[in-house]
Amino acid sequence: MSQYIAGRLLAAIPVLLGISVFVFFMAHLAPGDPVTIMLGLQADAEQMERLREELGLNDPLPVQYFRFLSGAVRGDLGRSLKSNRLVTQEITDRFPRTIQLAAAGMGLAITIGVIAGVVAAAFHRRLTDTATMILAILGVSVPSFWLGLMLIYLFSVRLRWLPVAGADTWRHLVLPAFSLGVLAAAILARMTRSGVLEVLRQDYVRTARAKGLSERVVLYRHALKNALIPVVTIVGLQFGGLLGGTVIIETLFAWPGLGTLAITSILARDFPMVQGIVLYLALGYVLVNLAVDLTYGYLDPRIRYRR
Amino acid sequence: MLRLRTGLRGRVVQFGLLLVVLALVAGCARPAPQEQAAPTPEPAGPKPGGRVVIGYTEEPNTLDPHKTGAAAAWFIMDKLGGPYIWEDPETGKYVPGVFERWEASADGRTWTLKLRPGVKFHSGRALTAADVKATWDRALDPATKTVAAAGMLGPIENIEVVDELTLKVTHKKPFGPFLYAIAQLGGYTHTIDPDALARHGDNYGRNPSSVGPWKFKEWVTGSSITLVKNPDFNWTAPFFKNQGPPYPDELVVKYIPEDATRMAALEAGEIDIVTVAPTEIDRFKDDPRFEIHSYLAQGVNLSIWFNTTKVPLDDVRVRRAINHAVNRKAIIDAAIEGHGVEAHGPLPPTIWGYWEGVKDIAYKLDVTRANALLDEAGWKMGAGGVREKDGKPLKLTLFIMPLDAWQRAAQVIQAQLKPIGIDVEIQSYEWGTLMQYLSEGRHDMNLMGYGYGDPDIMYLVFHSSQIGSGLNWVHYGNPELDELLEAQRHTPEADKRAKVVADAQKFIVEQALWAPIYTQQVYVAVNKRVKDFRVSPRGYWLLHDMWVDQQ
Repeated sequence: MSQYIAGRLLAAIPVLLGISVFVFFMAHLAPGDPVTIMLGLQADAEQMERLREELGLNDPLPVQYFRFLSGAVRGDLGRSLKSNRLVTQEITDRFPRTIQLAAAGMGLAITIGVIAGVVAAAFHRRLTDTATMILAILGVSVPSFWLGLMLIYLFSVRLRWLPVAGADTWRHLVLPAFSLGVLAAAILARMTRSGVLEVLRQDYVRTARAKGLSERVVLYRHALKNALIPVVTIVGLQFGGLLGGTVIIETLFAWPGLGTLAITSILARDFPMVQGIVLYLALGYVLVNLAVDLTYGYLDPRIRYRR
Repeated sequence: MLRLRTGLRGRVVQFGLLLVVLALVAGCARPAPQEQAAPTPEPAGPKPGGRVVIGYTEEPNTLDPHKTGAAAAWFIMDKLGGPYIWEDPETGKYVPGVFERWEASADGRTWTLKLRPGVKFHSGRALTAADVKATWDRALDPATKTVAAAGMLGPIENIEVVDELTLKVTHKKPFGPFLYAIAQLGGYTHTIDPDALARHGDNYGRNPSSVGPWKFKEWVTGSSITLVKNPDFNWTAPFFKNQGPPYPDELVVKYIPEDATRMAALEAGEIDIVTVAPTEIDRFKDDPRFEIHSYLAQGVNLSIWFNTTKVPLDDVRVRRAINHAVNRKAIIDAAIEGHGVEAHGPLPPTIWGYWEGVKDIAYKLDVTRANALLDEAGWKMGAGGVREKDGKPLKLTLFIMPLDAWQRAAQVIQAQLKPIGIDVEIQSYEWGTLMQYLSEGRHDMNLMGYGYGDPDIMYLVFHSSQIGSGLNWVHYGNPELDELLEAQRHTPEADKRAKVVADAQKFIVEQALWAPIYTQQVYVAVNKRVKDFRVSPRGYWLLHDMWVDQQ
């Protein structure tokens, strides 16, 4: 098992390397110059040139890339062009916030999605099933940005139950987590429902029923656990989407995570910052998928991990 | 305060809000809490205590005044450091603050600056002339790689400490905008506490300290910056009723990037003071919970800039034709729902040095004249209603940013130029990309707006030295104009400078380097629990009399 984990982590290295190349060149080849953006109105040719030289932006791109890479392997992602703070410091200030938001969003999504899916399957082809699936379709189709605005207007402006923006208390987390998790919840509900329905048709379920087990035990002990494997896969995949979704949700709710930082850094062409953020997010994604793969073994003891 | 318009999304938000409103009207929520009808006793007057929360779009990059040019940073540093001298909102004259007196020498090169005795840093140590010198020396030192402050202070040759409270600043040439740099731009030029700088080094930008009415308390990355009142402060401007420290205990600036969310936070009472877009103001105008302050922006918020190096815009007749063809009133109505005034020159009436004569030489709406000018320039009406010359159609690109107001304006302009045979293609780019393309001169025309407090903005936009690296996106270089723009920089006597500034405006309008469109009305909404907030006619927020009604 530990050998398997080590292997998977080793395999993550080329992935991150590939991402670093891709992001580096994408960022640098896009039009826009960080120095011009930074100096704006006070631009003065000489001063700009000095700053560009100082930041190493005049070197050929491959040289810049290897300088970035050799720093990165030593854990040094450079300094933000905009704030001049260490990229790693800026990210560690904010990454926990994004993790918190994504985890809360995913937690909500799993809770709502799995329960709704099981309920729908249990009441297959009845009103509850139809209603749940209509809600799920709505959940998949509604843009999170719009949903977030609607929630703000209802719960913060009108009812005054929850705060609009910021991240001071757990109450600040509710609306963004919900807006973020709705899409994944809807997908999970549909996946769980079809998974459970399929399992319910299996021989071993018929056997379980034949031995006189209660419907509840059949559903939760036999059906659900087996139906969850594809669901767990989706959770892993959705987590990537969720991390991407934080960019929009964080901006909307002024949540001080990596998403808002990503936006401002891209707009400012803050290359080191953008590279750092993408690397952290990619690493997060790789780790979550590893965790997902390890969960399979828990759900289905027949799955063994080999290198 | 320096600011070019940079922007965020837009129509999605409004559409979204519209739907939300519809959903709520359809009857799912309680009505909004109304203002208490019961008569509340009239508050007796300013009381200390409480906190005021200001909503702001973007976070500063740093609070080191020499490492930033961001308006968001200025906004905080202006409270931390405060202006050295203030502009009186009634008279428009400069009045004392940290500096008690300021005098120019006969040749205009040397300023003698006298500090008010008793001014103290937040640490409690007395401020001396040597501290001001140390700060400005740091700003001017090339090793500091100062972003904005050095340029604002001008071409300083020497700073001399005469005595504990007296400073002599000598410029290489007389420098007109110097007083502006130590007044409204004091946020960038304020004195840094040298002890704090030594203690925090590279991290000074997150631990600033100076002599202003507010002390730095906390910066929560991505969320807010909190300032607390400086209890020792008693060196504010004479026009404030309050001559002591600020009344509220805390001033919080909360960063909310999304426009719709910021407005929701105002409505929900999470923020007390915020700038409201003209297109949003109708929602708040009649709401009894808020007091609305309004002023005309310092700047021309929308103009068409012509790339004067490109055919056919290298021909002044074509530029004039476009100036005659745009219906400014219609654009103001479409873009900002009428909340603005027409602009006809490079400066608005709100910037010192604005020349009244602009009105007389302005290009009035006159489509016949526009057509005649284009005919004269050799562009003949061709098939399909597009003019042609030497077989080439009169097609012009118009580069814009994807801001709501600009998009609407661009479409109206496109429609207004069609009847005179100009086919306009609108191309929208995000800020960083747009800047690069404009610097490279890929455009024929672009929309642009600026906010600035001094006529020196004309130097930044029209001087030939600003082509390529600066803001001269009209790519215009003319020795006669250059000379005027340099002269206004180096003429400190107000009346003489005003004359040069007027000449420059006349030249720019006659050459039709822009088609100026409008200056917009700026609105600030203030929750009524915050009392005595004021805004100067030039848009400077006067916070020193402000207090919180905590009932």
